[in-house]
Formats: sequence, structure tokens, C-alpha cells
Amino acid sequence: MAISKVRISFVTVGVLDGADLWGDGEWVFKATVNSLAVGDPNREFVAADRSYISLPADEWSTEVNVLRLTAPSDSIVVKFSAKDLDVFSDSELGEVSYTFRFPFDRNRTVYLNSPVTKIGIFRKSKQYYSLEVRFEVVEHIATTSLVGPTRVAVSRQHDGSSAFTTVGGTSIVPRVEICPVVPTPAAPSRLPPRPNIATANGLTPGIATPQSQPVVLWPLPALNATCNPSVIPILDRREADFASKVARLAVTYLEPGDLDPSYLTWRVKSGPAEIVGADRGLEVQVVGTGDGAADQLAEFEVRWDGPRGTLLATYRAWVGRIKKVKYRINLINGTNAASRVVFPAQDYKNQMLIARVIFWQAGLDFIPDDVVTTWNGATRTDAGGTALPDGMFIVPVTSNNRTVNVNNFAPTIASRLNFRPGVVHAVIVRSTTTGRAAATDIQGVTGADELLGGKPSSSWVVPSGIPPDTDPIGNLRLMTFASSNRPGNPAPGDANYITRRHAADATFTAADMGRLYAAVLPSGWTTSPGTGSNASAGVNLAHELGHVLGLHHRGSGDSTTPPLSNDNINSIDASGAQRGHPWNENIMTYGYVGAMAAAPRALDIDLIQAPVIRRHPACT
Amino acid sequence: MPSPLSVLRAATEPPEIAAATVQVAASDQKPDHEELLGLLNSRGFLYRLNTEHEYDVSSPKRLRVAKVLRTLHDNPSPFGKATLTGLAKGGDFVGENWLRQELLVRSLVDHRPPPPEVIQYWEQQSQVESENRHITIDVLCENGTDEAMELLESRLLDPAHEREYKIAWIRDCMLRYRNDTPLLKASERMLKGGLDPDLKLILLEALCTYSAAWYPSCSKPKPPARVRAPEESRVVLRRICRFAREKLPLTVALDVAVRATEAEIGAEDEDKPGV
Repeated sequence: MAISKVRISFVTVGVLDGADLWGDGEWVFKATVNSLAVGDPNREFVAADRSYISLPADEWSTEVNVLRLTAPSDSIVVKFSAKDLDVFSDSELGEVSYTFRFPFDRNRTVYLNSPVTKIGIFRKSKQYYSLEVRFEVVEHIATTSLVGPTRVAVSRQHDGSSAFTTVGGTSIVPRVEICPVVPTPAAPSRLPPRPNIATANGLTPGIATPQSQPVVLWPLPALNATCNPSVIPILDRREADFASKVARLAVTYLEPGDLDPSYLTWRVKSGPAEIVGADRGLEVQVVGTGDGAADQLAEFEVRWDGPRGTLLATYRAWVGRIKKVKYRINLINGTNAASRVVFPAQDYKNQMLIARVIFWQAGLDFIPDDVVTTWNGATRTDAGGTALPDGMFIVPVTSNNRTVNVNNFAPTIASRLNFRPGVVHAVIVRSTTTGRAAATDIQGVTGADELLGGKPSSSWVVPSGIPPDTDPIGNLRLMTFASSNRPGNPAPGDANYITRRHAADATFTAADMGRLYAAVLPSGWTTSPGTGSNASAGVNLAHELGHVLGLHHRGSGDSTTPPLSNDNINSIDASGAQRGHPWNENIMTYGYVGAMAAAPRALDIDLIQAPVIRRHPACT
Repeated sequence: MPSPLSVLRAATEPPEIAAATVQVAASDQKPDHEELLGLLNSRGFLYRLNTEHEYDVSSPKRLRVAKVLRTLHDNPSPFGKATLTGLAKGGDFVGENWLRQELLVRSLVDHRPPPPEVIQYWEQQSQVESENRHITIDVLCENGTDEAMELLESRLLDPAHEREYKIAWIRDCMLRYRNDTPLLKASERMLKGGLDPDLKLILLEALCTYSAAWYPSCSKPKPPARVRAPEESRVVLRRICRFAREKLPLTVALDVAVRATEAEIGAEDEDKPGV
């Protein structure tokens, strides 16, 4: 098969978090593919701080004939620049470019951040936008020198053979991957090397399966929406909603792309797990077994045409019981309309439900606190007397700066309001000084490094143990958060608060401040009223809760040593350098802002992170 | 071509009104700015830009008036700054709406030196109960003038402001501007003067070293590279370090940090006059 035509699409322009736009910007874009213009350079788009612009597909994409681009040096160069039409002078916001190199056999999406640019006399140097560019194979045709027929099952195993032979006589083993990171990491991350099967043998190019793509988080999907979880939950098969909870293991990549998946046979190699139902196909269901007293590793295999066929892929995950994480969502409201949270309560509940889906892959179930006792004047109804969703409270404050422009770099007063020791709190304030959310009370954690060896490596850090990549050397070392130590770093008034709370509840002591687990989030983190349920906001909440449970930033998450991860999990990237891994696909990355806000990629919790958060005392 | 003001008078839709107002804000004509100041201090005009509800639920920078203030800030003519100063004197623009107040606090950041009206406005906005207290402290540090530093000092010395927030200001905004000469001079005065003894050590620590462990949250400010500190800042920092070693009860770790800072900024150049 030869690739004859590909489509390049400029999909989304994200206005970056730090762009610091005052009022809406009027932006125009200039795009080229191999120097040919794409899109209308005069069309204006409204750019609002931290929003994204979806570029119309019919206008901002083009097809490129690649039939003659067959030399290793052949490439397709895309360039894109943005300009802010301003009152004094138009401001160039910087150009990004990317080179798609031969072979053009793989669909991919790349995200490009604009260079740090200084505009105007007074403004600071900033990165203003990020861009999503999609590369898709739209046509392939038979080559003039066929190795064999193109649409027959050329990759069949001969009886008694452990190899696959094409009609042309070449022996191959198909490439089957079960990537533990979903969505499968994209550039600038790099996956372990793949052998060249399809192109070298005239076969159908490999395909990324639908299960490798980002899960759509709103409308709310099933709990088990994300395939290839790091924890296989132990479940009772008689549960009514078993099908929406059971772990789904799935192939994420196949090569040749027309391999018949009905021959893919799954088996549990080791560990307390069982396949539920059919053991063949792109995807199977797996349930944990045993008493779950301690989490155990299980290994899985995919073989060709039966449990003794050729080994094609391996996977491993923890098996454990579902741990409950009780939460409270405290909406902190001031005395006037400008000092109250900006979205309806249900929006914040929805964000928590999105976070619940994300944490399910680690065997955690976020549920509303079943204790409904309130403190600090909190209510379970809104101003109109309507009951709030379970786990939600409105907490009134008389000083508006308890909820407006809260400095969440510091221990906050807001986080202690209506808190219950041992419960995880999402504290929604009207606004924060930086406009950003932050985990403010990270306690119940040891700060100890988490070590994990074996193969495949967590998140397929290279060397991954996925052939032809070599086996991992030693352990991966995950650095975790040390305690923020609220008793030692109190917020203003904590001492008085303890006294008053103890007077109201004799069981409450100063030590309980050490069991305050909270993140403080600005109520308008998303860009406009009515959008509080969007996926990016839910992922943002899950990210902060990840911190609360002890996880540092990963990949593109803010780093003190960029481009390395704060949590020390790095791998070789597309340019051959070390970089946080995955860059955008782990929940602790920032793969949910800018151009990725439309379809967040920061969804994964990996094998080495799961034990850390499951060990947190809030997880019972 | 019609004047910006005539376009503004004729405009009816909020985006159209906003665009015309921005054009007026970009003007280099004094009469334009005089009229603009009046309009911005008129509740009726403000509600033509955004609804009352939007002034309650928006983020400040998404208000239509934000771009007007940014344009006034960017305007190279003296009238842009004068209009902002006029707003700081009071009126409907800053009345009872923390979002507009915040925009103005931020817009005044490049008033150097800040006129008394601006300092007074920042003073109002950095009261204990002000919604914009932390942002104002941040703007004072970024402004970096002697006048702003005096106000910053007064806040750090004022017992009404909570100790915990003073620590946060020292370790956040002051740390981010710790290469700036006026901030270092203000720090020197506080270290030698009436700052609480424990805060003196925390301030010294923030000037000389950095620890991610200071920050309970996942977001952490970062200090500027010491190598970029100008010589006049180094002179003040040398004095601070010497004073600290001689007069303050340093822990071993802080003593090491002070000596490391001295090594980092190098020895005093005897040929240069003192600052």
C-alpha cells in the first residue's frame, strides 16, 4: 500500500492561561502548508483569556498529495502565525511551525505552543497561544510493485508456526500495542520504537484504535470510560451497574491496520484477575478477584488465535478493591452578588462527577460525604431554599475577601470553612489572585519516593520492555508531595478557629487541622457563565485533587526544571532529549488548557501514581 | 473621518460602544480624555458596556472596560495616565465593584512615580478587608518606586495585617522582585527597623535563598536570577547581608544562605560610589 493523500488541519487555537488579555482580543491567523496558504488571513476571531477558538474545518484544512514524496528526506512543513489587531499597532503573537516527515503513514495530532513574544512597549513577554494541528491519511492506493494482495488476510499465522507470512513470502509479527496511557501520548512525547512492518512489506499502514483516543467527558460517560486503567477493580459481578464499572483492556495500536482483531486472544498471565465474557477482540473486560487486602500486580497477554499463539502484547495493572473517597464541595459566598460563586451549584457537582470518572481508573470512587453536619453557617440549600446536590454546601462569609481574590499561594481561611477532617474538599471561591486553582492543604502524605520496576514500565517510560525496546533498568522513582503541614503553617485565625470549633464540637482538636485535605478553585475557572460543566473544568478539578492526594506535576505541568517532570518521571522525547513523560496525557500535566481545552488529553493516572493516591488516608 | 467621540456617541451595541471607547482611550487629545473620564465615572455609561449582572459574575479582565483601561495604560500620551489617575480619585467607576477596582489597581502599575492620588487609591485597596489587598501588594512590588515601597513597608509593619499574609507577601511578590533596588532598600529599612523579629528572618531568608517547601500549594513563585541583579541592588544586598551577619540571630542554615548570597553577588567594587 502507498499513501497517496493526507489532510492537514489547523483545528484549535487555545488562548494560553498566561496570555493576560484585557478584554477580548481580535486575532487573525496566517497558515501555510508547504508554503501554500490555508484559511482566510483576514478573518477575525474573538480571543478571550483562557478560551479556545475552533477553526472551521472546511476553511482551515488542506489535502496534500504525497504519492511522490517517498524519499526519507521528504517532508510537509506547516507554519502558523497569529496577530492581535490592536488600537495602537497590530501585535505579532509569534509563529509556530512543524515538519511532518516521511513516511506519512500515521495519523497524528500535534500541539504547538507559540514562542515567548513581547508585544507593545509595556507588556511582558508571554506565550499567547497554542495550536492543534491534525495530520490524517485520507487515501492510500495499491503500489505499482505489489508485494502481495492488499485486502486479504496476509498476516495469517500458518498452522504450527509462530510467524506470520505475507503472500510475498516475508515473515512478520504484527504489531499490537496495549498502551497504558490513554489517550496514547502524542508529540512531543515519544512511544517506544515500532518495527517497520506495513511499509516494508507493502501492507496496510498501522492504525490507532478508537480506544486510544481521548475520552469525551461531557456528557458524562460511564465510570469505566477510560481503557487500560492502572487498577483493575475487584467487583461483584452481580452488581447492577457492573458493565459500567468493570475494567476495559483494549488494544491501542495495530499494524497492519487491517489485521483481523477477532484473532486477538487475551489471557491473564498472572495475578488475581479474570476475563469477563469473550476473550477475543480489540477489547475485553477484566475483573479483579480475591479479598483485596492488599493491591497486587496482574499481567495480561494478547496472543494470536488462541492462548498458545504467538505473543503479541503484554499489559500489567494493579488489582485492588474500590476505595471510597468522601468529598465536600464548599461554595464560599460573600455578601453581595459580585462576591458569590458564578455558576449554578450543579456545574461544580458535574465537575466532581467528571473527576470521579478520571479517578475510577485508579480504583477510587469519589462519593459525597455522608455526614451532613455543617459548620460556619453552611447550608445544604441555596438562597431560594432548593436543596443542593449531595456533598455540596454553601458557606456564607461576611468578609468578602474570604472568597474574592483569595491568595491560594498561602494557607487559606476558605479551606477550613465547613471542613470535616478526613474528607477531601473542593473549595470554590469567587476568585483567586492568580485566576488559578491550587491544592492548598496537601496532608496525610509522607513525601516519600515511590519506586516501581518491572515491565512494561509505567507509562512506557523508555526503556519500556516493549519489544524491540529493551527492558527497564532498575526502578522508576516517583517523587511525591511532602505535607503542607497546616498545623505548622496555619492560615490567619486558625488558632481561634480551633478553639471555637472545639467549643461547638468537643471531639474536634487541633490535630484535626492536620486532616484537612483541600484544593481552592476559582468559581469562574472556565471562561463564561453556563460553561461550568465543561470537561476542561472537570479535569482541572481532578488535577488539583491529584495534588491533594500527593501527586506532583508531570510533563507539561508547571516544573521547576523544565522540561523535566516535577515528579521525576521522564523519558526520551521526539527530539531525542529527556522530557517529562507523558507530556500532556497524564492527569498531572497541563494537557487540558489552551488548544487542548476543547478535548482534554490529561486523563491518565499511571501504574506508579496509583499506589500513592490509594495510600492516602482519605481513601478508605 | 468622524472623531472617536462622535463614533462613540452614535454607537448603540455594547461591542460597538466598547470599540469606540477604546479609540477614545487611544487619543492624544486632552478633551477626548476629559470626556472619557466623565463617561467612565458614569454608571449609565458603564452599564452600556456590560450589564450589571456581568459586572458581578465576569472575571475582571473579560469586562469590556478592561480593554479601555489597558489602552489608557498603553497610551504613550500623558493623557492616558492622567485619565487613570482621575479614575483613582473616586467616582462610579470604582464605586462598590471590586472587579473594576481590581482593573484600576493593575492599570496603575506603571505610574512611576505614582502621584499622591494613586498612592491613596492603593492604600484604600490594600486595607485588611479589601477584596484586592493581595493584588495591590503585588502591584506595589511590581511598581517598585520609593513611594510604593513606603506603602508596602507600612503594610508589613501594620499589626492589623495578619502575620500569615505578611509571610505570603514576602515569599511571593517580594521574592519575585528581590533584585529591585527600591525593594531591597525598603527591606533594609525593615530589617534594621521595626519589623517583627521573626518576620525579619523570614524576609532575610526570602532575599537570600529559596525553598519550594515554603509554599503549601502546588503553584510556586520563582525568584529572578541573581545574576541579573544590577550593581546598585548588589550594593544594598551586601549591606543587608553584612548587617544580618552582625546583628541578627541567624540560624546556621540562614547564615550559610547569607554567606552564599554574598559570594554570589561578588565583592564590593571599591572604585564605585556607594548607593
